Amino acid sequence: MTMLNLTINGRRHGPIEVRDDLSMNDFLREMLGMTGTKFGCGVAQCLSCAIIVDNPDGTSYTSPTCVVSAASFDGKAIRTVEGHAKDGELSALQKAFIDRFAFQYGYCTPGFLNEGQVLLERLARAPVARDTLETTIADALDGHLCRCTGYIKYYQAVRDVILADSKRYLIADR
Amino acid sequence: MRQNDARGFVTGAIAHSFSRWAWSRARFPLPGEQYHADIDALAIRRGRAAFERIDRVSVKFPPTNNNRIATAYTSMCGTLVRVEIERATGALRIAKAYSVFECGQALVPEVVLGQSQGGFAMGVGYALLETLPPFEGGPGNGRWNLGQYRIARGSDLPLRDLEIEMLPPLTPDEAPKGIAEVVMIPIVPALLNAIYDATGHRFRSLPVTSSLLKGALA
Repeated sequence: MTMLNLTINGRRHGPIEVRDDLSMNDFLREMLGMTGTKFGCGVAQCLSCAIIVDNPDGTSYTSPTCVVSAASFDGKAIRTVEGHAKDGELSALQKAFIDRFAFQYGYCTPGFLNEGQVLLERLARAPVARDTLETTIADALDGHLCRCTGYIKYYQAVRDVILADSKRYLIADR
Repeated sequence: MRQNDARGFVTGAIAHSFSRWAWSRARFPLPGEQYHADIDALAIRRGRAAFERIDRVSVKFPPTNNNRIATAYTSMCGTLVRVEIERATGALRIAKAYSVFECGQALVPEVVLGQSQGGFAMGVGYALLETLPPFEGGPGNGRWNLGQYRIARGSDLPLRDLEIEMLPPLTPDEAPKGIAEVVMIPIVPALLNAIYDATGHRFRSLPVTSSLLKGALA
């Protein structure tokens, strides 16, 4: 057993005693009831279970939760789909997903949202040239699988947010 | 064939049928047999004679009630595709694609478009990427997962070069039709025809992977 302490969406949780073999996905969904994080393939192929991990240096990355133990997140700060809206207001990317009808049945959406958000924050720190934007978006989102949208609307939504605030995300526009 | 002509054998047949989730069904008296089939009209030709209608003995049409099943009103879809195949590796890139369909009155056009884009992607997966053997040796055994086969990723698709056109309803009062995964279907033969056009090789099983393409081009 491990005594787990972690920060989820800005809120401290713990100490909570967890089995060493408990997956992070079960911890979030079953122990905390945070079902926004999905369970897809269970073998880290689809990334519908991906969450955001925030490093102390201000950078972030996404991690699958299905094949990763909850104990390995001890001391870490994470964000899930439940943490994007602030004071009831959806994030820019969430709004773009809705404006674009980005999802069909939506199971992969939390993973795409988290990945897109990490990309936006990375571009805000280190903008890219406009002519590399498409490959930048493609490289960021390509690990996520979707069976029903054909991906186009997810890419459009991420592109929309970047182009709507291009001074922030693109070099040439600074 | 000439021999058949001379003996007055059947040399041609024209049939008509009707589908409303189920097919019409009728019986036709032919010399030596009562011919039952999922058709409601039959004409045959003997030798070089003119086609002659065979009077049906009994006919059954599916109940009108079946009209409630939306799939009875099918949406038609066609696809054009342009591919580029790298000779050395067999890597295929879909350079451009166009799918067009008519679905009556689209209730939520955005969802219809999303469903269409997704159907296109899934068809590309079946045509080029997903090795899914039938029966117990394949995903039908219920134990396959995404690690065993490769579904289409964004990088496999012409995300910025896919045009999908939703034609207006045929008549202003036309009811919505179900589209289901119709856009998934024509992309598969379109890809195989494009591959044939590019390589001269006619593939007859799926998926046509890059290693098969490489072999065909060697």
